[in-house]
Amino acid sequence: MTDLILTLAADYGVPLLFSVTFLSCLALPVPSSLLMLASGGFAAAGDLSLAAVAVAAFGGAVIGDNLGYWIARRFGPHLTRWLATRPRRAAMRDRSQAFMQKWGGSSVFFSCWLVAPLGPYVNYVSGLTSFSWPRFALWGMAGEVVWVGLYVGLGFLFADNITAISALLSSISGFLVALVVAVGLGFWLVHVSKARERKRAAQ
Amino acid sequence: MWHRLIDLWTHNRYLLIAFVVAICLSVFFSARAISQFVYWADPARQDQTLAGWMTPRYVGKSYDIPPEIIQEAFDLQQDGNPRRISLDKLSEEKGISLNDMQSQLDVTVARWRAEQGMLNE
Repeated sequence: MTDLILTLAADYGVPLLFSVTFLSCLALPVPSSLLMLASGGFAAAGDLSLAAVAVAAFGGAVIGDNLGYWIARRFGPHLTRWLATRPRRAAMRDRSQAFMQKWGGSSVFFSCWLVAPLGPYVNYVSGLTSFSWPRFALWGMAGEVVWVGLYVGLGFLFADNITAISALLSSISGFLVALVVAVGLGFWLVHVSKARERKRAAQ
Repeated sequence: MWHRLIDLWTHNRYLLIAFVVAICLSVFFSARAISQFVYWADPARQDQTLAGWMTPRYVGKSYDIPPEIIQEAFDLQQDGNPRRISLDKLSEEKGISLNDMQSQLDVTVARWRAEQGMLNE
């Protein structure tokens, strides 16, 4: 899979990069980080234009993010009605709405690059909870600037060994995602456990 | 601490398992990142083995050699426009395997590096 996508990068260059970052922002499992690194590497070698690579990756990502948001916002109400039919689901919806009101901007920003594998889901949740679109779009663009700059930049700088830098970055990204998930679950566990304790004490 | 864990195990078993799995994964990924860093930091591993996805210019970048040496190693036209082409396609066009390309490259690069060494002395 890795070698296939890299061969396609050599043969199809910038249009492929645009399509892949676009699809990855809609939660399709395409190796966008690897492709950005490789395109940065090809730019350093003189096979692609660095400006074209950056614009294509950024454009694909931003269009993908916003499409994901609007799909969720447009078709979300059907799901929201279904969520409202059961009290537990409704509570979950209210909690995520409250969370997005409070943390929406930074969630969108960091999910674009620091924990990029979670990005598409944050886009969908933003649309689903009707998070303000201008805020979503601005934070999203800021995040994508960092994402594209980081990966294309590292590919450009470490062009002499794309294989090494991509293996290393995928581990680092895996670590960060696992850590964020662990911390989130940890807070949740503490919260439910304390809530149960209070309930018992009250009885 | 323990009573809380037992309480969670009784009431939120799946959540607790997911939490432990996430912790294990973060330990695994951090260990992998460190071992990869150590592995690739070794200068002996700087020349990447040729792969089908690389382009001639990319190989030049990875081996840190000038375009003429790449053209010589891969027997490319000296006057034609340099093209962005994957080694997969190039090996198909030329009818030589990637392994043979690697040996040609190794010979040419070794000779060039030896010449450079002599020039610098």
